[in-house]
Amino acid sequence: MNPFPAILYVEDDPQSRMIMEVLLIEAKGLSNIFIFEDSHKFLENVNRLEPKPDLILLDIHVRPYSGFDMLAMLREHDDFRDTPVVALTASVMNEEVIRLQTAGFNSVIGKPIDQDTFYETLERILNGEKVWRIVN
Amino acid sequence: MTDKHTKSLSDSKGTALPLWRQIRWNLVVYTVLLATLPIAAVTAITLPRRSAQDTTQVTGQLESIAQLKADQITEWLQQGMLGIELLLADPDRYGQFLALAESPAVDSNLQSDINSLLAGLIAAHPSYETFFIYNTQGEILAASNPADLGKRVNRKPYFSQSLTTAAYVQPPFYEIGSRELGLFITHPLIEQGETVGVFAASIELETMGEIMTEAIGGFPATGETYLVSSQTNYLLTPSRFEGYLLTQAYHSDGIDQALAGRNGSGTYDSYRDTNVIGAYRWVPDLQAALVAEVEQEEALAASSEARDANILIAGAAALIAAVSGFYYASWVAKPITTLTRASLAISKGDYNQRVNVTVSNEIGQLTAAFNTMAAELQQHISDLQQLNEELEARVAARTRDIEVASDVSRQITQVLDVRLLLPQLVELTRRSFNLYHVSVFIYDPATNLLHLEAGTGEAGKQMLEAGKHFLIDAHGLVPLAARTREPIAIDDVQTSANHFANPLLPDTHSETAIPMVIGTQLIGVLDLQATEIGRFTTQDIAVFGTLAEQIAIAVRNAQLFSEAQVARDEAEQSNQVKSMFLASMSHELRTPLNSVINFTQFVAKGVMGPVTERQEQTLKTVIKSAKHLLGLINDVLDMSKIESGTLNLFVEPDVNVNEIIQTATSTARGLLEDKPVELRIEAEDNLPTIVGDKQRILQILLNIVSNACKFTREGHITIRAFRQNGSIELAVSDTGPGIAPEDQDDVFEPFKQTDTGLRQGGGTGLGMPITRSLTEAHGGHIRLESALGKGATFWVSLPIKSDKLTVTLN
Repeated sequence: MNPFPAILYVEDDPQSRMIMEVLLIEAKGLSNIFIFEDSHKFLENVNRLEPKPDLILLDIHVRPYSGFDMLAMLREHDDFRDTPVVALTASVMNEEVIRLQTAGFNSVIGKPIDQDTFYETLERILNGEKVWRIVN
Repeated sequence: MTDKHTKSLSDSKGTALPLWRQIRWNLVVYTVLLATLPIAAVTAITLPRRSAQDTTQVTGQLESIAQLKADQITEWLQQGMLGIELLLADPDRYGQFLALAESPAVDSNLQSDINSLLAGLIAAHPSYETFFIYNTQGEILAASNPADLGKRVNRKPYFSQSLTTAAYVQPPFYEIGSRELGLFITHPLIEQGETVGVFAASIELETMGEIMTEAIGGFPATGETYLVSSQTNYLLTPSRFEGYLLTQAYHSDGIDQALAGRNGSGTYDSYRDTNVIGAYRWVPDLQAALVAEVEQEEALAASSEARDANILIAGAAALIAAVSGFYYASWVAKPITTLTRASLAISKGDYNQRVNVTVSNEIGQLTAAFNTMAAELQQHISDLQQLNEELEARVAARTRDIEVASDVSRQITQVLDVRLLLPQLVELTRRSFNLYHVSVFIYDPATNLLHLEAGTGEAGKQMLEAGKHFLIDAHGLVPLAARTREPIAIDDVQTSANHFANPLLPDTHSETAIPMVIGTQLIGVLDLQATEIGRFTTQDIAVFGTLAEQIAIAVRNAQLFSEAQVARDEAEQSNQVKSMFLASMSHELRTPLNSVINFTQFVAKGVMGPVTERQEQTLKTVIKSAKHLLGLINDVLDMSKIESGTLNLFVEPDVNVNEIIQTATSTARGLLEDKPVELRIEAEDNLPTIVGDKQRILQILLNIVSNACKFTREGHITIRAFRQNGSIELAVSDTGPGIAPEDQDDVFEPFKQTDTGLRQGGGTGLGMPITRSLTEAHGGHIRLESALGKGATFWVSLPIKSDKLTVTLN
């Protein structure tokens, strides 16, 4: 695995953004982390990122464009057709997974984030694995 | 009745119409049979006897021929033997032969002398083919044919027999390899009582063939005699017929019987697969079967000619009998068929049938009797019909009203929307009872008004448009019937004070108003008007009363249905609102709670800087409480999904139940840390994996286990798991306070908690209802065994593979 993966995270809840900053930047020391608080100009901004994200984390309940909308936009785009896109959801139960998979997400991570397995899960997803089991 | 009766008769007899033809044909057939049967019988009896006689005769002939041939063969062989005896009778010659045979070393002069001697002898005796001499070792020392010299005969079939002291005839045999047929006669060369060599001759076999193929007297075409060797069933003499090789195995009854040593005769299929009469015998000298045969067809030609003649005679007789029988039968059958036709016609209902009497015999008398019977029958039937018609007319008149009423009722009960039904109903009633005008008023208790709901014709339409109604206290027939709840009739409107002339209905002369009542509740009034005076009798009013009752029920049903519909719509709407509220509420609640949990974890794990042990413990309590709160929110959300039917399972094909039990066990240990409660696990190892939602199955077990932990203060809790048939049984028993029988159903009802539950546990009261729904969603079931003060056992049975579930992701 690339020791310094570029990761993009879109999340409108400030606390959730902070948690991700702690997890990825503060605790793990990763540098290529982009966090958007707004899905509005998402597509415009995602194009300009340098380096291009290796992994995209999308909160499902973002407005005005939900995680599903943003995923559809990404898949239209040549640069992101094959980038792993992970849904973050607080909808606790596995049944949500069916919707996510149908939409074309590559994996899912549940909230609250399980700190014991989070990094291992990210690594598996970056290695091309699909992780569908939400563990609380 | 009459109708039905005749119908069934004509149906059953209809197919037998050409009966007169049957009679005639039956007679013709019997006549023909009578004419031909005797001839056939005589032929049948005499022909086989004739043929048997002929067979016996032929067999006798064949047996004598076989005997003759056998004798000829024997004689021919004896001549062959005798010839040898004569050749060896010359003492000089015999001495020379002995000398040759005896000497240990061959004297070539002597040998060549003897060779030429033998060659000379062969020339002089054409019935032999070769002469040769061999010693006791089987070495040929001299031979008429130089090619035989130096050969050995010790493997020939005759060799060992030839070394005895007597002459020997070797039966004909086919040489191995050359497949040539040979017949040898051997004669020992004896010196002082001891055999020192053998003189042998092979016989010319053409003679044998000639003997056998010589034509059989009397059977020039197919008669033949032949010999079959016991050696592999080969023919020894050629067949008279082409295409039959000598060196080929042949079988037939005759050949096989004779080769088995039996003499006899019979009729059988020959080696040529033709039917023959044959005589056969065993010829020991030749080790062969001698067969004399003739084809049965030729042998019995005379008797088959006789049979053909008989068939011709029988055919001619049958033809004559058929023609004469036909005319006779027509004459006999005619009166019978006339009678039959008349009977059939009567049975179909034509009672005018009579038959002309033209003959004065028994059939004539029968015809007369028939005519009398037909006349009487006609009279009876017509009386009966008349009576029946009268009865039917009366019954029809009586039942018509009731039928109409019940017909109307039937239609009513099928329609729930009265506004559609009533217009049809009043029109149907008016038409069925031939009335002038029919209308229905519905009573509204809120306003005390009787509204016109339906009315027939143009008048009805106009009154509806005008919104015709009565106040219940008003004058008039309709309000009066409504108030009194009794039907009222006016025989003549002109003499009644209760009638108000309606300009839209100028021809009304009589009227009745019938209240529509259920119990004591007034639904409305049925109003009927007629152009005749005194139209409505007491009986009529009773019938209309029944009708009014039915209409009342239909109207009431429709009212109730529409009320229920409104209530249902409202409930559905509020349920949806509730589900949506719960879904968005739980999301709003969970988002900050998730942050609380994650942040607290950061601090507790020291990500934000060092923490003391005490701080860490406190933070862990915060996390625990937050997670509990999250669980409660999830329960509420689950319940709302269950109630709105939107809960879906994430089904995996291989859920490990042992793993789930382990997880539940460790949770339970955490919950029981400070209590004197022992946790016992009695789970079978290696339980089969099951198809289901892992997370939900864990939830099921956790709910029950944590319930047990919550309510048990001391004693023990036992988790059991075992396989039973196609299911896994999970049982959690505790020594808690138990649940009273009357409360046990409530345990599984949402938002209901028992007194004990409320006092001790808190919570939402949703755990068990969710557990039951999840269990049932897996195709399983849950039950409770408990009594107050005796603890409780929850049993969960989960099918290993439920038909209800399909794996979510593949």
